[in-house]
Amino acid sequence: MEEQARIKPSKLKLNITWLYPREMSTYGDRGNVLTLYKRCLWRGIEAEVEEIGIGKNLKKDWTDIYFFGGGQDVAQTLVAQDLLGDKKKILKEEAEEGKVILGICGGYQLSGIYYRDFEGKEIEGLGILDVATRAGSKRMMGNLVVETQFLEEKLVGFENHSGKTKLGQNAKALGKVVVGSGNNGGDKTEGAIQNNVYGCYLHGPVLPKNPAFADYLLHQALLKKYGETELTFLNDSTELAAHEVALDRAHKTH
Amino acid sequence: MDPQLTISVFAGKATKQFLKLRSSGGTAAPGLFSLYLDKNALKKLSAGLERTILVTGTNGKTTTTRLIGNFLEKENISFVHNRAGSNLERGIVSSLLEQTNFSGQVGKTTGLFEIDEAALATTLTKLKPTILVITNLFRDQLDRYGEVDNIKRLWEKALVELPQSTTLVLNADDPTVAYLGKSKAKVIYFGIADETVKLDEKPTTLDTIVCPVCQGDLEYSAYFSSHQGDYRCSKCDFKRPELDFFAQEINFSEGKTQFVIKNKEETTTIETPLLGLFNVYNALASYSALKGLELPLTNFADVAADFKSVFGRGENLTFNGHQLLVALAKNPTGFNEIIRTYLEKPKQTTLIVINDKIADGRDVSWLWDVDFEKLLEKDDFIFTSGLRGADMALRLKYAGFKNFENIESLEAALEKATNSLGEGETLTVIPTYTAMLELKQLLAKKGLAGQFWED
Repeated sequence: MEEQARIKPSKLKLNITWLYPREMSTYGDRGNVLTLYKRCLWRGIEAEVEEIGIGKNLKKDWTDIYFFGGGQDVAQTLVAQDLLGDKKKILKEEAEEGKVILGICGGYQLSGIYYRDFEGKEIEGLGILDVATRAGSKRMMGNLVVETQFLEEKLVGFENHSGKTKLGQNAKALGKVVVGSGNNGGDKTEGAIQNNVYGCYLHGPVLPKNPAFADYLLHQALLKKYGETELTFLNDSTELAAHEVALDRAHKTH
Repeated sequence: MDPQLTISVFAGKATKQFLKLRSSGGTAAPGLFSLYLDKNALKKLSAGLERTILVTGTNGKTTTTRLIGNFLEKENISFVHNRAGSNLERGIVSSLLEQTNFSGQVGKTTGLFEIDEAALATTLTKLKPTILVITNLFRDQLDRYGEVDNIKRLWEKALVELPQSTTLVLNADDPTVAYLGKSKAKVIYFGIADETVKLDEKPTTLDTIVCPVCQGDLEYSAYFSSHQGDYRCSKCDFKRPELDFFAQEINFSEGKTQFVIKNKEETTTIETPLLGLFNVYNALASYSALKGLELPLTNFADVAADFKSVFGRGENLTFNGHQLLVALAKNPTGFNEIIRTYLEKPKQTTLIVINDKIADGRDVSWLWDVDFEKLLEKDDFIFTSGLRGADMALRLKYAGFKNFENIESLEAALEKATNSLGEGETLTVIPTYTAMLELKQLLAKKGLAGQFWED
């Protein structure tokens, strides 16, 4: 470990795969990819983003961080079809190996076991998170504040979903709902973690204004790839100002 | 005589008087009260109109409606217009109440109403419009309207009830809007037929990506703005319909837009202070709607030339000796068009004011779908303000800007931004909806512009 700790940042590189940027990027979720990318560059860590759309193959073992955003219903169905087969196989293997994967909203739902619509028809998910989602009649919409066990600061964002997600035995909640509905509006849980796979309903987008979460994911990816590494300090005054304001608005609008 | 309606009209008018005395600017309350007393008020009040033009869509409703209104005025056609603001059913009822006697008879021949895209379904059957104009469909305030698919479904459902007599005026360049014309008897399609204004590359913000019929990929020979363009489906035979009226020879120059509107027989040359491609669409929409009424349009060019911009839709103001240009931004496509129209100019100073009240959309994530990166080369200074000015500043940081500052108070931000202007420089202010209203009040307080209900 001593050896690896001395790896210079300039030698480090993270490969980011952005799943379905066209189909699954309805809520400014591209801000998440931008944040992962920039926070690497600002630290002298090389970063490369590969966009994988419908019909394009995944390069096995290339990716350090996967990002999977949210989309509209129609797009989500097309994406679900495209995921089955090779992509699912690769993502499942890499999830089990401990690769970092972040799914938001639709991307979170499709990372689960299934999504069941109103007619009872099931859309098969990746199964990399032990969660299942059912269509709900009420839209859960508004600012969302979540307390996690792995970050000091609360996570803040905006949720907009009608699917109700329930956690299975193998997934832990990402955190506890402080303001908002979260997974299902009932059990006060929000999101899920399993291995290094993270899913949640936080748009906003979540990573720019929760820089601690962004750095946590980067750190996990660097750990996996290089062993022990430390992230250098960044001036996050702009990020933290937005975080503060978002928390304040969340409390005032509920 | 309908006693329920009379009571409802009386109550609505009384509410209006009361608000006038209190000098508060509520434009929806009289209608709301009338509807409470007679839920059929809209149907009954509008029954006396000879013809009604209804305008809906995500962007361009207000300008399109006003262009039509200005034309009707020039032609001395008397009309009712929900001009002062509310574009829900209650706002339309409010505007009708003003022109109605106590038995509910309306004193005008023509109704001209803009209607919120989510409220179309409930008003359509009550109003039975002669003309229904649909401008476009973009993602807009997901927390209010839901996803684009949701509005598409609402519209499809609404149009099932469309009276046979109604002429649809549709933007052919927007796939979802064009699709609504299928199997309808009377449709007028408008669009752009000018390759010189097509975008160099596929836009990053596309709100429609698949064919509305079969969900196949759409292939474009030209993108004009977001998903508006000349398209065809790669799987089925869906494609941009043939254009009944189209714009060509589009030319943007300092302070004006020139183009021609054509159909098979005639050509109308337009020169207007309305800037930007989105206003070419607005002019096309209003021209096509008036054509649908079979009115002679010899005066249309004059009306477009004399158009005075609506507050917040790109008007130039002089404030304390400074030049201001105010351009409302509600959604990614609208903001990208503003960037294209106003900001792709030499170095300048900009103030972006982002609120997250209900009318703005509570969710500000859309800011990340606006192409601020396009402005990077210019080294502009950007001030941000509003309830979510901090989010805007963060967006700029990640876009790569160095020259930006967030000032929470709008008044302080405006002062600092105007003071930083160079000789002859214009400050471009880009507010969200409620931020625009605040700005207008602030300017009024400082001696500029009227109050919004006098507009």
